[in-house]
Amino acid sequence: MSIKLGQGGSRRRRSSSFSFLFIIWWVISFSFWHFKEIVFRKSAGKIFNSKTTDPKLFKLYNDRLKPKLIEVQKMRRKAQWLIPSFLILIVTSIVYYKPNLIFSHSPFFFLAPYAKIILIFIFITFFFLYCYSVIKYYAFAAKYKEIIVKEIVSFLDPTWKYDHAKRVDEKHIKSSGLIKNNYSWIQGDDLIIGKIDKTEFESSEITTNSSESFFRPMGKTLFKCFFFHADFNKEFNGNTFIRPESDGFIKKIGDFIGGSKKSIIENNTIKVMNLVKLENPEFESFFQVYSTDQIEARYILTPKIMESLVKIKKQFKNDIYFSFSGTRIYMALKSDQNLFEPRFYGSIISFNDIEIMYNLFYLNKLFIKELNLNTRIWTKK
Amino acid sequence: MDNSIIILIAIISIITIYLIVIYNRLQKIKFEVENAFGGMDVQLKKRYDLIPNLVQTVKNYLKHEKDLLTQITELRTQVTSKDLSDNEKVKLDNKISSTMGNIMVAVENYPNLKANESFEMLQRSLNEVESQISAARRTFNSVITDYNTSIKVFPQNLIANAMKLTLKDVFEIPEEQRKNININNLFKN
Repeated sequence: MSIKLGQGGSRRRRSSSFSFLFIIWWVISFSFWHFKEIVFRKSAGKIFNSKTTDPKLFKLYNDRLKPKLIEVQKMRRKAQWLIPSFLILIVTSIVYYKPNLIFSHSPFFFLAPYAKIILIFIFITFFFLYCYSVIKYYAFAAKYKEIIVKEIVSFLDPTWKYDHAKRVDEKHIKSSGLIKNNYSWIQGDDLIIGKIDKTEFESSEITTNSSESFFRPMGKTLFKCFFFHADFNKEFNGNTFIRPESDGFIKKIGDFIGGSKKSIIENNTIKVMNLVKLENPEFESFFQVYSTDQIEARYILTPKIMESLVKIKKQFKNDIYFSFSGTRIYMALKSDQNLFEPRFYGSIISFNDIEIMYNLFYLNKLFIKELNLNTRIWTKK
Repeated sequence: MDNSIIILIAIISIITIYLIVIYNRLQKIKFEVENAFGGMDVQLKKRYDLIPNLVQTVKNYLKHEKDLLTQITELRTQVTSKDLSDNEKVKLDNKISSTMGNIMVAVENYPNLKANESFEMLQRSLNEVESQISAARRTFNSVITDYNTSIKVFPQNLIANAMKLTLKDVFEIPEEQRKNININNLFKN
């Protein structure tokens, strides 16, 4: 009887220590995820090979944006405990498992019996402080978008609608076929809805994530991109995909084995797509085209459009994907980080940052202009 | 069984499989060529169907260019009534393209016609068909290039010879069609 009790007790103790470990692991992962999103960000300017500038933009920056930036930057101070509290969380969790590190060889040795309680108390306090800083950072980011980013968008075109909290609807992402369906949740922000002449378009940032697991409590980021879609000026029935030419030996071998066919699943039916070989060698060196209809693919990809796509591609270091489906053109520019977030350290009062943002939003105009989407000389008006 | 016989059988089966694979590949490419020509034919037929419409819409305006209209109607009758060889068809189609081009140039002198709604619709359909034809031609050329390469490389050329496959010509795009469409002129009212 007593033996049984003893076993039960140890099992309970083990399971409680396991759930404790889980909580710690979850808190650390949660903190690390946000820390990575906020602090470890590269400049969005890295995706560009070349940028466009508008002389009026500098005037806008000096006259209108600078005073606002100074005001908004003050809000960031409330998030200043983000890095220190994160470091304290890490240190506390290490010390919790090796309390001797601090408590045996220091003036605090007399606290050793209460070590764990003290550490838990410190951990909880700083976790709350950390959460507070994260919330404050996001509040600052939201304000920055509301005031600064919105102004840049309306500088490009006052008729465009900008909403920093929304994203392109999932049905468009699904019908584009550009993003793999293996995600469990999707997020995104910085939606723009607009119309240039006859062509209406939408764009936003999109991130897909895998489901949460014990080892990754926050899930894993699968694909992050700047997503754009617009009404296309020609009518077509099939699906055509343009993806970057595989670089690297292994990928090339994969392509060789995979052959010249690919398939997509649309409305629960599998469509087979064939490789389309086009006559522009430069285009072929950058992209691979797959389509359900060889003639239609060439109807869409005229020599002029191919040249334009090459021109667009050359402006970016990152991979770029296109698809034509239904009545629309879809585009995904792959990125490694959030594109429209204000920086966490360093001054936000920088013309360079504003210029990068301007260039990202300018993409909407660039695509429509380069692809001549406003040329409506075919049956589709 | 003797080892050498096994090896011999293995070699013969490998060669047979290889021959079957090549034969099938060539058959497939041959079929693709026919298919691509068919695809082009479909688009050309669409253009023939538009010709009577075009003549009907412009005849009241283009009084001085009656010849052009008679010419295009004749060409259409020729191309649709008789059983023509591929080469003859191509020649006639090129003629149709250039005559149509001339009609469109003539239209430039009649602003009233250009403003006409049904003419605008017709012009859109023509642009559509022209783009489709050019896409179909490019598809055809790409398939032909593939076909020509396949029947010329060793050892496929041996089997291609046995199958009596000969080189085929790619489409020559007439000079006037290579010019870019001047979009500004198209819808200037």
